[in-house]
This record gives sequence, C-alpha cells and structure tokens, in this order.
Amino acid sequence: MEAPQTYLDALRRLLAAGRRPSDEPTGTQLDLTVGLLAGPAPTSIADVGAAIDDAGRVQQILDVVPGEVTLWAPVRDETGTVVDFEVEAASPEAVDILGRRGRELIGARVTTTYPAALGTERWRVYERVLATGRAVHLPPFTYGPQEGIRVGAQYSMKVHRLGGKLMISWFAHDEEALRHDRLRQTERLGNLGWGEWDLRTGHVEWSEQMYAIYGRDPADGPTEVGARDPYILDGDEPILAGALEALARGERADVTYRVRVNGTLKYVRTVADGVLDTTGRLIKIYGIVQDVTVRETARTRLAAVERRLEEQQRSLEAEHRLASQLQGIILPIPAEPINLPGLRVALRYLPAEHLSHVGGDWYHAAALPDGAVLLAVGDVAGHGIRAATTMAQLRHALRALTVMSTDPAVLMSHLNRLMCDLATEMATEKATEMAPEKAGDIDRQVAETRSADAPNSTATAVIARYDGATRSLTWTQAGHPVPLLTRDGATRPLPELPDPPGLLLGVRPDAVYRNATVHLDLGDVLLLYTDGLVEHRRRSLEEGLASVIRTVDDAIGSRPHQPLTALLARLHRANPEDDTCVLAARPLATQDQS
Amino acid sequence: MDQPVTIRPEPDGTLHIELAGDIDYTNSGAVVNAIDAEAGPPEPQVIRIDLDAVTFLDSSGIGVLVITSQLAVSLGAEFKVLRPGRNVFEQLRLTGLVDLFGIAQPGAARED
Repeated sequence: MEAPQTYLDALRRLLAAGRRPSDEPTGTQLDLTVGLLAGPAPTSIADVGAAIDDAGRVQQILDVVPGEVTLWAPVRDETGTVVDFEVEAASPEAVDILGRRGRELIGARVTTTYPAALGTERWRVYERVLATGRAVHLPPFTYGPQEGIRVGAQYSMKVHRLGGKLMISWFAHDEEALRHDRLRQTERLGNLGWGEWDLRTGHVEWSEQMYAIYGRDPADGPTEVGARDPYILDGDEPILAGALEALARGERADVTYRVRVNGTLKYVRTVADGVLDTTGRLIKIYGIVQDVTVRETARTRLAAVERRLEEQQRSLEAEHRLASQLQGIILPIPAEPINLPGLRVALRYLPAEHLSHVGGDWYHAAALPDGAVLLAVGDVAGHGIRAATTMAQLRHALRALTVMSTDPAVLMSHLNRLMCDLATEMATEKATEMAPEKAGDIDRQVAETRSADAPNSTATAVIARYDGATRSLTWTQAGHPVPLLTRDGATRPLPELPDPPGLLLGVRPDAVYRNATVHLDLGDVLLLYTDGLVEHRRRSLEEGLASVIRTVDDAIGSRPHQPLTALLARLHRANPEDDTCVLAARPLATQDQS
Repeated sequence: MDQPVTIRPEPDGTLHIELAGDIDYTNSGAVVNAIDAEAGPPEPQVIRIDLDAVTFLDSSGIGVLVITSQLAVSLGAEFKVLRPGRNVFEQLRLTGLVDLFGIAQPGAARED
C-alpha cells in the first residue's frame, strides 16, 4: 500500500485479465497479424504465400505480438503426408515444455517436443486447417501428463492457415482463472475493493470485494457516481470533497473517512487517481478502497489511552510540585553548608522516586544556648501527609525541648513519650472512625484505599550534641542506623551504644535511651543518615552499609578535604521508594569559622 | 503473589499469623485490618506471628508488628514473633524490637 500506483496498476491489469477470460486479446491480435501479413489489399493467395515464405519477415512481426503465437511449416514425407511441423517463427511469449522461449523455438519439431501429438484429435485439426484453410478455434482442452505439461493445465488454441503454413496461438485458461482467484483472495484478505468511475458516461464498475465492503448485493450494481459517497457520515463529507478537488488538480487522493453500512460504522481508506482530458477536466477515477475499520478502531482506542495517560501524567506532575513545595515549607534544605560553633554541616535530601511519597525524613542542626550544637536526623514510619505532620511535630518538639535539656538521651525519652501519645491519639481516632463503619463495609474499604499504610506512629531518630570546645560528640539513637565516622580515610559506624539498644520511638512509653560519647578529630567527617540510604528490598542492611562506606572512602581517599556538599553529591539512595536524608559534619578549629 | 497474611485461630486459643513476601506501605494497612478482624471475640490468649516467609519489612511493615504487639497488650494476650530471616532479624535488631519481643537469633533452635 506504500506504493499505491504500482499496486493500482497491477491490480487493474489483473482485473482486466481476470474479468474477461474469454475475451482473448491474443486472438484479436492474431487476426490483426494475419491481416498485416496479407498486406493492405491482399489480391491473391500467392501474395500471401510469398509473404509467408519470407520467414524472417514473419518473425519480425511476431516479435511485437503479445501472447503465445508460432508459425509452423509442415514437414511431409515422400507421399506428401504431413508427418511433422517445424517452428519457423515464434512470438516472444511463446514457450514450450522444454522451457524454450520465443526465437529459441525456431527450428523445433513438434513431434520431438510433443511426441504424443501425432495422431491425436488436435493433429487431425491441423491437417484439416492446412487442407481447407478454414481457421479453427479449439475449445479449452487439457494436456495429459504424458505430454509433459502441468497436469490439469487448460489451454485453448486457434489455428489459422497462412499460405501453406499454420499460425497457432494458445491461451492458458486456468492461468487466468488462477490469477483471478488470487486477486479475489488478495482483495478479501486486504479488505480491498477496486472501483472505476467514468464521469462522462456515469458508468461505475466495482470489484466483488467493493460490494462486500459496502454491504451491497452485486445484483443491485454499484452506487451511482457523484460528488458524494451515499454512505459517508455527514461530518466526513469535507474529506471526500477535498479528495475530489485533489483529483481535479491531477493529484492522487489518499483519504480515510467513515461510512455507515447497514447501521455499522466503518472506516474506509480510498487511494485514487484521476484521468483528466486535454482541457483539464476530470473524466475518470480509478480507486482502491480498503476497509480499515479494525485498524482505525485500534488507533482511536490507543489515542484515547494516550490522552488519558497524558492527563494522568499532568496531574502527577502537579502532585509532585505540590509535594515538593510542601516539603520545602516543612523542611527547608539549605543548598550550602552551614557553619555552626565548631562544626560545619551540609545536608542532602533525596526525595523518593514515587511522587506520592511525601517523606517523613527530617533533620535538625542548630546551635544550643550553651554554645554546643545539636544535630539530629529522624524518619517517621509511613508516607504521605500523616507522616509529614508527625515529622513536623517531632522537629518542633525537639527544638522546644532543648530549652529544658540538651542531653540527647533525655531529649530522646521525651520524643518517645510524644510519639506514644500520638499513637494513643491515633488509636482513639481509629476507634471513633471504626464505630460507624460497622454499619457498612464500603466506608471501611474507602478508608483502606485512602491509605495502604498501617496506621502506625513509630519513628526512628538519632540525636547528637557536639561541644566544639572539647570536640566531644555525645549521641543516642532510637531504632535508627548508627552514624558513620570517617577518620584517616576509613569509614566505620560509631561504636554501639551501651544496652539496652534504643527502641523505636512510639512503642513503649517507658523505653530507656542511653548516651555514648566519642571524640572528634579535625579532618573527621560524621555522617548521620536515614535508612533509605542503606535499606534495599533485596539486599541486606550490611551490604547497603558496605556500599555507602565504599563510596565515602573512595571520595575522601581521592580528595581528603573535599567540600561536604561534593561528598554528599556522591551518595545515592539504595531504595528508590523511600526518601533519604543525609547530614555530613566536619569539625572546625575553634578560630576557623570560614 | 502469595497473600501477605494468613491468619488461623487455633483450638488452644492462639491466633497464628503468617506473614509472607514484602510487607510494606502497599499492604501493611490491609494486613493490620485483617489481623484486627480476626482478633476475636473470643479474644486469643496468644498472638503468634511467623516471619519465616517474609522477605522485607519497611517501616510500615515494622509498624504491623508494633501495632499487633499493642493489640496483644490490650487483649491481655501473650505476643510472640518467630523465625525472622537474617535480614528481617537485622532490621528488628536495629529498631530495638528484638529485645522487646524476645526474638531468638536466626539459626537458633526454632520454636514451632
């Protein structure tokens, strides 16, 4: 279909051949040839005989004759009986069973090529034509297998006498029938119809499949020619009008429009060429019509799906923008490192890839009234607005609590009690929510779909207090990954806390938290991070941690005093579903505040 | 994929819960609801969670254990967590829940 002209031509030719199996063009050609050979005014048989005797002249004429035509000269024995024929001239399409073609046949003997021909009914016909001069048209016959021809192949034959010789032409009937069948098959398979419209006579011709496409009985004939397709949908008329204009300009038309056939909507594609007369008037249209309903329907559906996806994409983007704005309001992340008393701190926040996961990760880094610095990183379980709200509460509570105490373990106990209170509140809320749900499961289902997270209010955190004067770091954690310390190019977790291990926040109000203290050297780098950095569904925490340690070691090994932001830029979260917060800190010499 | 949770009340008053696959933000809410729905009456004397088939717990998956332990406390039932894999055990250790729930180290004699 991409080269419609070639196809159109082929189709037209095939149709012409297939439609008129009995109208042998070669037969007409033969008669014309005989006339030609006889000259414009044949006066006597002798003249014709003289012409025929000139085999070279006959061959020149047969060279331009279509179809299978040969000139046979009889070969007689001493009694004058015809015992064979010798081919004296042959048209280019003439072929024998040995595959010889055209001029290659010259000199061939019929009994050599077709040994069984002698004595057959056909042989007697040859003799009769030769004797009487009356041309004979042999009805279709089938060559037998002994004659070396494809079994069942049907031929008909015309035998003329020319001078003392025979002019013979063949038509392979089943070749044409076969072509016709193949064509019909092609049309049916491709849902292709072929039509011809003569605008002067109003004559319209349709192929069989055309009737099938338009659901018309061939007995009723095609629809009349006109500016409109009577089946076309009103809305698509301009498409057809445009096609007619293109044809009138001498251009090819290739249009797809909708038609309604017996109440069913169909898409038809028409590729058509027009014939213009010398005045430039459109006089004839040839066209192929294809039923492309299946393809068009699929395309329309696909377009609808694409449109929906696009809309969804847009709303996701809007949601993402909103989430990032919210994140920025609740937890602004400074782009540049911040200098606190005796400590430089840089932060990096890696949002979850899943846009709806507004994170519960948070950090805190601020100078304390006593001249020390408080650092914290935490992670609230779950995602979404609830987690973000809890995160904001914890962060603000921590800031407020530092007025009463700056001891990390004490602060952690307070945060734990706060989380336990939140858990109780949440359980109460849930109980009140549950009560009316007993009436119907639908509300419950709605509530479930709204949040797939367990209604859980646990959190993890690490809190550290750094005293720049003594360069000592006191820290504690609650269910949180242990901070990493890089010293002399090697990174390892801080030594574990004394027992009991800090329990997840929000589980037991009486959980106990203990501090540990570590001395920091100038050049050390401290990393506080949330589990998104190391936690991965299919990898152990140890593997995740080892990978982070490798990254940090490589970075620091290649450039020991590189800026903290550059170091953080090399870290990637292990879990794309979880957001991640990383805090890096490097001690400053007390007078060095730059 | 397998059901993330299978719950079976046993004749001795134990509510046996088997978790499977990844327990995370996508299914933890449904798991908690399913456990809630099966927790009586009659109230179980023991709530037992088997983690043998669990491949991953995110923070909300850990929340399932915490919430179920609180449910057990409110019902006056004993709470047991069995057979965590190595990675799950490591997560529970990190959060301090190993001590709280009295979970045995993986590879230690199993209590079936």
